[in-house]
Amino acid sequence: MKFVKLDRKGFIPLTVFLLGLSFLCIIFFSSFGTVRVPFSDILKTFFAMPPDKIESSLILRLRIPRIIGSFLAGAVLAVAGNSFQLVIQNPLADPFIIGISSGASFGAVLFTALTVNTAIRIPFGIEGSALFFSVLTSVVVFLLAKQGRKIPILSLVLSGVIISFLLNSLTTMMSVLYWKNVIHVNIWLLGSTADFDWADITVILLFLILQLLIVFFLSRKLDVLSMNEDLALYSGINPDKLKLAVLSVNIAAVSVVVSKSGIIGFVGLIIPHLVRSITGPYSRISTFYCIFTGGIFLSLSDFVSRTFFAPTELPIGVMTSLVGAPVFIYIMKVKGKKV
Amino acid sequence: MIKIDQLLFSYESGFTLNIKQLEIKDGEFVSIIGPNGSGKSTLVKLLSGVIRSYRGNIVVDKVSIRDLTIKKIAQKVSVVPQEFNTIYEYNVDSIVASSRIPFAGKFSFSESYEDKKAIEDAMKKTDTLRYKNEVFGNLSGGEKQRVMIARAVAQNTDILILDEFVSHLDPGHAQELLKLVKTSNKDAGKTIISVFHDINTASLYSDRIIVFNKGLIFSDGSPYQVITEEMLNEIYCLDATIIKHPHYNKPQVIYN
Repeated sequence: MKFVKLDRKGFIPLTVFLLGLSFLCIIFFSSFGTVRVPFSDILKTFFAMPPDKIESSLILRLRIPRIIGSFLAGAVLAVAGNSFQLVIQNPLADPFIIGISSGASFGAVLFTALTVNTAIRIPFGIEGSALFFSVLTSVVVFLLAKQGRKIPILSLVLSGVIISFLLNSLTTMMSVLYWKNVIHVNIWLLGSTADFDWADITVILLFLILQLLIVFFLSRKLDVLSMNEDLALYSGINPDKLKLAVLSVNIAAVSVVVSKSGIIGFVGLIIPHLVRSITGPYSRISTFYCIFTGGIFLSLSDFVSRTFFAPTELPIGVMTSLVGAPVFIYIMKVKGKKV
Repeated sequence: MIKIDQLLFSYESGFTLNIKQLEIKDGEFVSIIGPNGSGKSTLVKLLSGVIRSYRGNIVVDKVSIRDLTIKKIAQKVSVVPQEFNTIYEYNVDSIVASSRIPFAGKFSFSESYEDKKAIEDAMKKTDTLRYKNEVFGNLSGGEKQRVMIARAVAQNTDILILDEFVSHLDPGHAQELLKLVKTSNKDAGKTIISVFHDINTASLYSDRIIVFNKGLIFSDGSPYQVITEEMLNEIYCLDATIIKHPHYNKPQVIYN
């Protein structure tokens, strides 16, 4: 298959460039923060050598997981956005239209309201509750959208919107009733990568690999489905099976990220757009570039949100939306429908 | 060979397609005509496996298509839709390449040598090779349908179903594509089932015409047997005269 603007000759140099750029970003972003760490210390840490300043290792122990975590979370969101847009055949799709974000907020607020006001204890904490409800919401949305053995895209989107409205109003209701106790949940919901640790990174990386594997193995069929659902049928592909496989893996991955970091919007929307405008829609190649572009974008957003407003931090979801919305409007107006 | 027996399918809206008996032999060029909402497109959907919940039997090469997977059906039947468009900017050759997926393994990474050859041959035959690397969405309507025919040719199935595939084209482009389809019927012996809006086209290109009306077969036979002033009046409410084509022994409809 030919790519629209990139051919195979350009693939290796670009990959090397992106890997290098990602590494440089991680080093650069690790250096800045409330306390400045010299680059030499960071490089030493990466190559398992003791840094010159003792405090460097302490700071980096907190900072590096956060930066790598942001990178991986960005990659997961961008890859999921791309997969959703291809499967749903709509460049405006995003995992959040299935109701993941409203499910996660509901879970988080419900958890807080219950633990603070009643003696009910929910296992696995606020993250577990958010994860549970975001997955549950997606399952409910799928069941609602199902018509016989088919999952029509329009009814999937509609059910997503309806369930989101319902859950959001329940979330608001709880927030009004217990506002004193749940107000801090709002901050959590706006997204923060501050609490990432190595365990989180491992889990996110695992799901990212799953996302990549499914695209890698099903890319030919996924391409045809993204061309047109009827064409998939004429090409001997069961579109509903394929939709279910690709969407469920991506929903799981995004739910995990949301439960760890709150809702980080726009990454899954703009990054795949930008990438596809360069690579063309071919799923394998566009997914590959989404990893780096999404990763660099979110670690950059994390960097800006914790340095520009120091000592305060801006929630990373605010950051991505502040950058994302204008870029999105630009794409829509200037580039038209051609994304 | 396609054999339909006691086929019954209803939409929720109430429309019912009911075919008692229908047989289409290998290598036939069958046209299907009838007014809007007479069940032509429904039959296409049933034959191509898009609609799978029906009563009765549709048998292709002695196997009921109910027992076939979507993939197996695509190995026997290819479809040229009325109109085709993509949202994303795929190249023409990747659209044509989709035709080879029914012949690939479960997880396939790229086209085999055979696939590539089938794709190139089909594109040569249909004269689409020159816009191989162009974005499909940027082509004109006629070019798009030409690519869709290339795609069906590359699928290389015994049965080719065309659903009003020239309805949106100007007469020149339509004629070109019709000749292409006629060639694959005559030279390659493909069975062609084509839905037409234009009765004259159906008469000119096919040996057999099936007329549908209100979900039932109204008549079935050679163009002269089927195209009559009474039929036009009864099912289309059309006031017309039938004349003989000056060059061929085929009836043509002249509006009054």
